[in-house]
Amino acid sequence: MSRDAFIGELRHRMAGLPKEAVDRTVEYYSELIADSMEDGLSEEEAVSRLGSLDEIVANVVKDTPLPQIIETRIQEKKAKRGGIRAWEVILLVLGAPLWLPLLLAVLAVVLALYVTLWAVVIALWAVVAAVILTGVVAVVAGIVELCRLHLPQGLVLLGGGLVCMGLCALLFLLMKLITVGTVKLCKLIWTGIKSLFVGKKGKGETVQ
Amino acid sequence: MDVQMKRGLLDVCVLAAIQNEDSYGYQIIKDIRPYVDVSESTLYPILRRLEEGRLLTVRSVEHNGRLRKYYHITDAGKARIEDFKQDWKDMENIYRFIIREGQA
Repeated sequence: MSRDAFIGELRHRMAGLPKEAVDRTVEYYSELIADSMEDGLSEEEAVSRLGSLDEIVANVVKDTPLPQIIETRIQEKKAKRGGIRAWEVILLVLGAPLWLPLLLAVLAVVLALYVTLWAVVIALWAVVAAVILTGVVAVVAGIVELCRLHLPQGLVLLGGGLVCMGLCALLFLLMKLITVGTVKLCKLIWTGIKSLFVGKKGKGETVQ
Repeated sequence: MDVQMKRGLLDVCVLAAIQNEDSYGYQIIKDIRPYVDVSESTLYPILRRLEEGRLLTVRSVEHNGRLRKYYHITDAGKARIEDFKQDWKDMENIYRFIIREGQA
């Protein structure tokens, strides 16, 4: 890919991000290409060393809050058409029974997704807590039984309690992994949602 | 290496690369690369973060008819490097303990 094609595609994919962020990113990568070429690399090599456009854009999206992306989108629309037209307002108001429930539904689904994910994690933690509690209670009860010279019951309780506690140590490690994984998944989903608002869709998608 | 750990280390590496002399993106990558695996797209958010945290400042200098951004370390940035050195000493003590206990 040539330098101009790369920069063009980069700008294209970052459409919808604040202008300042786009310009700063483009400046950074143009400078790197120019410096690589000054260092003796060919234009093609210099561009290919920058890595994939997807990764570059995803990094910028991650750094930009969603409200800022939406604000930019609205301002872009205003600038392009010289404000929102009267018929657009009428259409928006008349269409409200249609788009408002749809928008609410989408928000509800996203919220439900998050809540479900975390509900599962919390439920699993509750299981771990229950096992810990069972272990502690069983051990205490076992000691009490042993003191009362109920040998078989005491030994069973004590043994069961210790097994529970041991199990907990393993479950705890597993839960830690699951929780960290869920946090990462949530971040990924959020970046994905933000990406929906970024980049021009349709024509020019396949610029090389 | 742990992701968080590498992130923290890269921050200090970038600061170290500009501590004696102001430097620019391409040169910073070139200086660090022999020691840590760093790509063009990973350096970008690091520079942004360090600038936002006032650990470095940026100025544009004309070079061959175009602008090049030079990064300059601030006192806070220098303090960060010193913090890292101190942390490293503490880590070394812990490391020695771990090794000694392993042999005993």
